[in-house]
Amino acid sequence: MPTFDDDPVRTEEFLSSIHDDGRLVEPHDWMPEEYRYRNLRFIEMHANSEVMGALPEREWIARAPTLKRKRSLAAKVQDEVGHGHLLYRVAESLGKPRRQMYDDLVHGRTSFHNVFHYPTHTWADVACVGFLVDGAAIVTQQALLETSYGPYARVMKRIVAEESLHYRHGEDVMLALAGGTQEQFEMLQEGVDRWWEPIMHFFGHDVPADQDPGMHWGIKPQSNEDSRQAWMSKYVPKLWDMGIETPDPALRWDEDDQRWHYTEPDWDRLMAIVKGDGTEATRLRLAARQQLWQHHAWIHDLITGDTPVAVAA
Amino acid sequence: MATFEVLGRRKHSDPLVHAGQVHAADLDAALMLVRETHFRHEEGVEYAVVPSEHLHVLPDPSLLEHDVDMSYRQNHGFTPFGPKRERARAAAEARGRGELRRRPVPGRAGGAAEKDAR
Repeated sequence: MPTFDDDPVRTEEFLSSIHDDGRLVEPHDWMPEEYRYRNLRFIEMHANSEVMGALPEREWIARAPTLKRKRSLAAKVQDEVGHGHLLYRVAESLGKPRRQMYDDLVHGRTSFHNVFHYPTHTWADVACVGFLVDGAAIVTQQALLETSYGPYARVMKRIVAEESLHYRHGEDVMLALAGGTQEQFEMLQEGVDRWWEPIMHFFGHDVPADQDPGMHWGIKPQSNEDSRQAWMSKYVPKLWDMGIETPDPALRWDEDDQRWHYTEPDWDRLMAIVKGDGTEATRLRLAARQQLWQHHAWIHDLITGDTPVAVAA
Repeated sequence: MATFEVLGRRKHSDPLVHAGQVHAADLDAALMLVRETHFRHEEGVEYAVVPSEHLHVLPDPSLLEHDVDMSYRQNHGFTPFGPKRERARAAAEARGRGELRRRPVPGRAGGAAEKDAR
């Protein structure tokens, strides 16, 4: 994290205008350098996650069980890559060229969400990614409609609308497996068992709102724990309704304090994934992205007339 | 005189949307005119003008139509969910997993099944 030399008085006025007056910050407005830095890093990670999130599902387009599912999955992958385009454009307005962001992503210099590091073993993993992981993304993305950066807030409207379609796609696949043969049902249960902890990780630690830099800077409107609770309230009843057991034996809704109680996930395992080397799936996906990036660089140069970014060997 | 397309933003959180056209001598005159023609009643917080000749219009709108069913790109391609959920519930009961939906969940102390019974 670099150090910033922001004027404290102006920064205080800036924070007050976004938190108290609900002002949206526009690209040409003055903003503290720390806000620019953190906002860019946040949106860039979001964009990276959309692009990397398309890969676990892309791996299943050819293997999807029916033509209808292949087409629906291909359409969803197209939407996710489209979200990446929209978000890189927003991130670019904060000063980092899109090509540099993509180059950083494929060479592992920037990060993306933990849930896209995992392999998809069976069609049930596609159901879990489409319904539970996308569901987790919808919860956090809906909150982002209230973010303080104007271009981000506006682009999220379109993204959230498309995500609600993905939610239907995911629920449709889930219900087909849950209501299918015993083998399909067991496959789905195993998928949920695999995805439970990554989804608990997805929301992050229970950081108090007043200690969360993302909330301090008006980038993230909802705390990690509020997002996790909102996700559980929406998705756990749906899983139970399908007869799918949740793998955490301590999970229960407490009517008195209006909260879900659950077992704290192993945060060291999360750190090993996002700060370490990811998984074998991460390496394969990044290698595939690097290869495409290098092979297609000449097309990019031809169309844009850009000077190529130096690509690491 | 030239024709200009008018784009406006109602609130800061809204996208720029087409609001109409004006005729004006140049960009500055168009900007000034639009304030009186389209934005004098607080219709928006920001607006822009673009020379109409700079718009590249799709020459053949039939390119937006599909020859095959692509309803999976829209919500109605998946709805209604009621019968699908009912089928999954019945399957859960048949597998002896019906108890799961009688656990307490938000808004329903007695679980999902209690709500369905009401």
